[in-house]
Amino acid sequence: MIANALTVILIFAGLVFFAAGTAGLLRFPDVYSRLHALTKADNVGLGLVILGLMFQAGGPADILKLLLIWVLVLAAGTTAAHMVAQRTWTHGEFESDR
Amino acid sequence: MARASVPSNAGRRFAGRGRSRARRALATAAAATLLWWILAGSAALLEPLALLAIVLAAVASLLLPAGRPLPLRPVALPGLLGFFLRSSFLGGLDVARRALDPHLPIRPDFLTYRTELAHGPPLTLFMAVVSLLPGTLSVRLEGRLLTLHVLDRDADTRAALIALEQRIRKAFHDPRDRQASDDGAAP
Repeated sequence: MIANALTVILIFAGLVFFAAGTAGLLRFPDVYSRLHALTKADNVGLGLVILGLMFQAGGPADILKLLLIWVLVLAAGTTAAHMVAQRTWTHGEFESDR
Repeated sequence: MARASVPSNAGRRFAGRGRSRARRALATAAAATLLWWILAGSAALLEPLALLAIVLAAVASLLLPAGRPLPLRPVALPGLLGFFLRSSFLGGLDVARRALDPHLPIRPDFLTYRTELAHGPPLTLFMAVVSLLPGTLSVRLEGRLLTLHVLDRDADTRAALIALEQRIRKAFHDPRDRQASDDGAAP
């Protein structure tokens, strides 16, 4: 019961971060600022969702699997953000909106 | 940040090659076992395919040439992990607040920072973590000069970067510090 409540609260909090990250992606003025929103907010959002799901895990293997997912997404996200930023720095923005 | 350059004449030491290879194979087998257990559950560990994969992984680490060793210092890892979790959470909170604020309070700018970290894992980790700290995004690395994008040009970004750099330096054995740490046992 308490575990279920914690799961709901944590996942809801995580979704707020995903929504905020998406809002930043739409509202921020340039590629770099958008990358901030995407990487950081989604990292925390996914972290909270994963933490919430851990309370539903069947055993230590499930918990470690969730943790592994978070770490891999984290590494991929921050690397991708850096690569997009570097590409933008050397080649300019793909579209000059705003 | 600006640390006086340490004379880099510290001699490199190689441990016994055969022993370190056997240890590496054992560690690989253990990691493969752990990974298989995480992905497939404990019952699947006894299947022949699992045993085959684990043995092959260990054999591969014996046959393939060794990569560069990862000079981690386990003592400093919990501190680094705690620092990372705290500041990456604050980073997400900060950017979420800015993104949802009707006034969109961001003043983006570029900033350069010269790091003293060694090339390789420490510098890679530094650049990766920088992108998750509040308001910073690593853009480009030229030599040791890092170009960053910051969301708020008035924030004290430099202090945060220095704190992170110190944490990471503590978590790795710097080849330039090796001589000092070896001699440091008897002051």
